[in-house]
Amino acid sequence: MSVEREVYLDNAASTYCNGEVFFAMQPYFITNYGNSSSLHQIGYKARKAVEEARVNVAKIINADPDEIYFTSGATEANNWILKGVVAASPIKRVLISAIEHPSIIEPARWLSANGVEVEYIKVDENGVISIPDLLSKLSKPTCLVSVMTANSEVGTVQYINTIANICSQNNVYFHTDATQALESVNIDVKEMNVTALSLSGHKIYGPKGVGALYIKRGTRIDTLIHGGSQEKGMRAGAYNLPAIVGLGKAVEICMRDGNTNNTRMKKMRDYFIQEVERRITGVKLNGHRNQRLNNNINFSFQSVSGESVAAMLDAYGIRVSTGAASCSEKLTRSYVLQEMNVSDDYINGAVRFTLGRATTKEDLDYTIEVLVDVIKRLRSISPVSVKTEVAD
Amino acid sequence: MYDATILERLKNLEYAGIVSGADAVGQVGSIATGSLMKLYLRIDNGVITEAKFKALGGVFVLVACDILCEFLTNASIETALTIKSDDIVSALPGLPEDKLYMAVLAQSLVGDAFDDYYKKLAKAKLNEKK
Repeated sequence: MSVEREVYLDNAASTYCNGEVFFAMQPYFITNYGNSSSLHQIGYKARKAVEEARVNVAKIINADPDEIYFTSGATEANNWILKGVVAASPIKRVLISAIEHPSIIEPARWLSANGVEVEYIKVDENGVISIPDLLSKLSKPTCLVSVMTANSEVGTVQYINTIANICSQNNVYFHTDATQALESVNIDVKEMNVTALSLSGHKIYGPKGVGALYIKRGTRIDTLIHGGSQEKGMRAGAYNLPAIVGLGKAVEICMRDGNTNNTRMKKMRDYFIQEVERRITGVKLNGHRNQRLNNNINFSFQSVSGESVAAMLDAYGIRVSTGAASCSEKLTRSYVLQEMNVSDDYINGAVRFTLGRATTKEDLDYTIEVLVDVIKRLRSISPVSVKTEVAD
Repeated sequence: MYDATILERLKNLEYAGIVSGADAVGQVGSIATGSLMKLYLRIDNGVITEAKFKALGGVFVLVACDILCEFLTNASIETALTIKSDDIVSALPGLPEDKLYMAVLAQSLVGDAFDDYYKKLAKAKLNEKK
């Protein structure tokens, strides 16, 4: 088998920067490069561009523009909400889901090491948050609950409305990391009763190094980055002007083309799942079968290593991930799949395929052909007796 | 990101398979840890004439086993027993530090296989006496 094409199926790790986004950003590197805090004409142009981007970002989640704060990405936004809310609250107790991204888990661990009580809400075998566990953990005074809108690894979309309303009824702030979900899930922070929401540029065909935190008006939160008076004194540092413009444009495209993209992506996702399950036995779809991101497919292949599958696919031009990209670097067992109680036989064989706007059916057909061959070869090497052979 | 030579080797694992009626079989690791290696040797007059492996694990597990089998093929028992994990590490460009134990695991396969070999020999001698 030879390398027939290059297929990028790691769009949950990062997407390419859309051409429209790139061209919208370009003038802000070269001509309109002013500091938006300056009072002259170039500064004014920069300020205007930042505010236009803010309006777009607010619009996609139905927030008000003054509730949007630009950050360096979702990691900063997640750090800010956790540390900022705890610092401003007399209640030093936080709940997060057990399958959050490291940018929530690590700040929570840091808080825990600094005297804050942190508890982890359980998930079921599909990666869905346990509402009874949330309710039980809310019996103690809590200042913040953070649950991601959709899991980056297995794609499960949470019942955000329910969780947010439970938090609201208990007078607890609710934050959701919507980094992976912005294009796939319709988000209305007012209807959902969300206190705060994080998002990122490079997951929606925008630039890297930019994101935003929505903070509901009136929320008690301390500053994370101290310095100048940018963002009403809440987030210091000169605006990353081209990136903010890019984020605004990327969001605008999401709103404009979202429905078309989602319909197409969902169709391709379901086709891929159906074909893999038809042609390869001993395979388990991780995450919720229906309630999942339109571009996410996470399969565990019995009795093979996901890392070897990913490397073999890479050798044939197919770029995938063995889980969250950050986990792939460490090459460790997925904590998300562990929390979902995936068995030993399957947990090491997980591979994540995330489709993108540029993915074609031909890309998927090539991937399926190579995948069938790779699994067959790896199983023939495996010392574990595999009852389930690749179906012909 | 793997070294190109590692990926090329992964695509063409020359020594993957089983030696039927092997004189020595070694096994290290477990399914639970995600790394399981099995080594099969045919030994004629103190020389390894055939070495094959089966393995479950990541890229370096599979490639380390393949390299080990290459080292072992046509080696005398004495030479085989002198193979060090460092020899395997040297043949694995780009092996990250936290994966060094894979070379150690692969090397310990040799010890485990010869343990099996000498047990079988002792048993055969015992049966001859009977």
